[in-house]
Amino acid sequence: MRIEHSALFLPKRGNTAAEYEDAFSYRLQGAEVARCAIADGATESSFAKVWAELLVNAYSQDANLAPQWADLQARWSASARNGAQPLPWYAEAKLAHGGFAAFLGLEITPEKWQACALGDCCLFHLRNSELQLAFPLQTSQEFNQSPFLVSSQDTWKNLAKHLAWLENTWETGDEFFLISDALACWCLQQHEQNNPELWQQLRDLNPEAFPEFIAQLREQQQLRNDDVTLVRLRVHAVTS
Amino acid sequence: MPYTAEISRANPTCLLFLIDQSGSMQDPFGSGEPVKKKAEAVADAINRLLQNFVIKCAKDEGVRDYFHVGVLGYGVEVGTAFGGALRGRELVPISDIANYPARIEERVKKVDDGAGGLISQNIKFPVWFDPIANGGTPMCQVLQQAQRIISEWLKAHPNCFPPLVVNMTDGESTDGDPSEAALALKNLKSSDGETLLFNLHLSAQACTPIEFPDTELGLPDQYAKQLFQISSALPEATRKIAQQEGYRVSANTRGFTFNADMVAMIKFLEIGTRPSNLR
Repeated sequence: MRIEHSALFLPKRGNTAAEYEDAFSYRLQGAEVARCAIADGATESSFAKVWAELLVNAYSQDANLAPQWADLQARWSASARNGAQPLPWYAEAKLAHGGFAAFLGLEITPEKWQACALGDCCLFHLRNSELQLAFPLQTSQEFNQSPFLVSSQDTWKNLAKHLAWLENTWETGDEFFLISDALACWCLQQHEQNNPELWQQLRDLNPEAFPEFIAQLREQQQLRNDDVTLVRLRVHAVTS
Repeated sequence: MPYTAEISRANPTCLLFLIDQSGSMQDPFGSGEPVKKKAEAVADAINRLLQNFVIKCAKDEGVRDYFHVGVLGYGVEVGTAFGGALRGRELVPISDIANYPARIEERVKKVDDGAGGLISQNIKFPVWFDPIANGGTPMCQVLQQAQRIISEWLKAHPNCFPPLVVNMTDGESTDGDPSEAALALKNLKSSDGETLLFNLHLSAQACTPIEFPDTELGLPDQYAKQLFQISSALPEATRKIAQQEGYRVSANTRGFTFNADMVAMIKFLEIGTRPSNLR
């Protein structure tokens, strides 16, 4: 199994690079397991970036987050406090609310792929440039500004009830795009409008062209102003 | 579509609260036990609203200035009602609201212990306003003063999400019918729409709280009806959020509550993704 991978990202217009609150990770474990994850920290929560990073990094180590959950929560809390005592009243109140992020993880083994998601980061599986499926949201109408997200204050037991899972087989040359909500919504809209160039457009993007491409869509009000992350994978079977 | 301008630090909007501080606010509020005065209910409501707005804007590095906030009191006098370091200022960035409450009280809050029980937790409770009840209810005058402040704001921020004015009162204006002054205020607009006027009505009547109604039928008195009439209809984009929050809404739904708080209103102003499980 061989996987080509690349990631493109951009903060919300008007925000600095340091204020970008999405996160992504990719890890090939041996030659047999690849894991890729993206997470989108919610604007209305504090230390959302830290939370998003903790989630994607934990997933890249082990797709089963359950045994890592307590440790993730403790690390988020420690990182948010950063030793500062006492915090201002509003920081204390915000901290009690927790960190929130949308999450999408994809694990690929020689036999199959398996994805899990909570929130509105989306996976697109393509074969010969044809969309096989979008997951966990399937239409552009399903996006809204108040999704249920992964909370640092919730129990794993409760969150697990909200996680969506999907698995299937792959063929050599298949592509997987992992995309955070604003761009994912645009992709589904374009797909619904039968834009034949859509996937090639995404494939052609490089770090130089990406900011201009996104800026234009925002300018034309086709894309909501939000952090944007696009991770592209292409899987190849390697015969020895 | 109007009322869709992005609220950001580069393009903030403004919130202006009008607080009835007239003598009639000494009367009891609703039928709750223990008996609370209307002035206390108003002070609670504004303190809670400010607190929630600050928390909404709090991020890792501090508080982001998505909103500029003003508070006008009306009773014996009409004018800015901030105390302490903010005294005399009309509109201040929300980060200043966060950093300069009049005082911070320690309160005990009962919270879920995760095992079906409740535990006591000490929390910091910022207070900006104490109850005041003295003099008449010059509602027309305060609406006119609001008009001047909003007008100046709009000159400097012509493309902002339209300003929101929240009037908290027992509704008994003593300087005439406020309809005309309210209309003049609502006619002020940015490129994204007209100024919104919401009314939070507090009454001595023992009546089920009413939130965001779409008709004046069923409102208990003439003051409630008048305040309903001068309240703005919820814009379409806001109605969608209200609907997601579980309110029954129609095109006639107004920014009006009767003997109820308005904390839900905070969710109507979007600054980005708000998780549905963030409570």
